[in-house]
Amino acid sequence: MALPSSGTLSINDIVGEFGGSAPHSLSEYYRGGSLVPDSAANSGIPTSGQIKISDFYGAANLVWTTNLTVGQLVGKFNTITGYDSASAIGSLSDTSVDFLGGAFCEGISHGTATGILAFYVTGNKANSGFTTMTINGNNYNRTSATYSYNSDGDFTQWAWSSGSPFSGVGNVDTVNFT
Amino acid sequence: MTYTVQNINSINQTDFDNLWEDCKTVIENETFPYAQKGHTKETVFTLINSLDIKFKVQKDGVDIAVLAGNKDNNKLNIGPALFGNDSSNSKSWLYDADYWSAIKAYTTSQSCLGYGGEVVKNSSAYNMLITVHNNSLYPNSTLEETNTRTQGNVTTTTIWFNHN
Repeated sequence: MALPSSGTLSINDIVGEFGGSAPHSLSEYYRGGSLVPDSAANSGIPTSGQIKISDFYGAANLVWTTNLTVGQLVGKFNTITGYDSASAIGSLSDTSVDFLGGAFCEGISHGTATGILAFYVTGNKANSGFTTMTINGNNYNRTSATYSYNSDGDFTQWAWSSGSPFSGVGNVDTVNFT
Repeated sequence: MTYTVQNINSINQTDFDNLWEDCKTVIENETFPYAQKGHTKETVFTLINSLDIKFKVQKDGVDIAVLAGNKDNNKLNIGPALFGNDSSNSKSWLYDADYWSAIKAYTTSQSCLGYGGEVVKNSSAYNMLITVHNNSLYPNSTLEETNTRTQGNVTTTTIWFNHN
C-alpha cells in the first residue's frame, strides 16, 4: 500500500512501507537500494545524496504498478478479458515495465477456453524482477507461473491457471507488482 | 477425388500437430483472434476437444481437415478448424465442389439446415467462403452474412450457407 501523497509522514511510515533494520535512518531508503524499488512511483526519492521525509510522498514498495481499463473480445467459443495490445482491447495507464527496463507490457489478459491469466512483455526477459502480481486481491506468484519466451513473436510471458481476476468490462483495476 | 467425413471423439496431439503445421501461420496471424498471444495452439486444441461436434475430412485417405463446432438454431456452427495439405502439398481442395458436397452431406446428416460460422472479416477464411459461394461450390445454398461486429481492432462476421 502506497504512502500518502500529502499530510503527515514519519520515518515510521516509511519503515512500515519498506521495512529495514533498527535503528532506522533515511539513508537506508535510497531509491534502487536494497529496500526501495526503482519504480515510477518512487521517482521522487533520490538514489544518493540529500534525502528527506517529504521525498517519500506517494512512494510504494512496488516494483511496478499500472491501472488496467478492462476490455473484452467475445467470440462464440472463447472470450479474452483484460488488456491485449494485439487485439486492441483494454488499456494500461503505464505500459513501461519498471522492473524490466526497456520492456513494454503487451498484455495482461485472461482466456476462458484455456483458463489462463497471462502477463506479456516485449523481448526476451529473465524469469526475475517481481515476486507477485496482484489484481483485485488475487495474488499470482512468479515462481508458480509457467514462464516462457516466444522467439517468433519476441515476447516473454508468465501464465497462471486461473479464473478471470478482473472486476468488469470498462472498469479500472490496479495491477501491482512486488 | 474421394472425400470422406467422419465424426471423431477427440483429436490427439500427434494428429493435431500434423495439421497445425500446415495452417498455423494463417491461424495465428489472421483467422483466430480469440486467443492470447502464445496460447493460440493450446486454445484451438482445447476448443476442438471440448465442442459437441467434431469431425475430420479425408481426401483419398489423407487427413486434410478437422473441424469442430456446435448446433446453433439448426445450423452447423463451426468454430476452430484445421486445414491441412493434401498429398500434393496443396489446399486447393478448399475450392473443390466435391469437398463442399461432402460437407453439405455431413451437415444434413447432423440434422442441420445450414453450415457456417464466425470469421474475421476479410481474412483468408472469409475470402475463401465468399469464393465458395460465388462459384456455387456449396451446392443448392443461399449465402447469409450476419452479426458483423467490431471489438478492439477485430471485425468479425458470421457466414452461413443456408440449404435451399
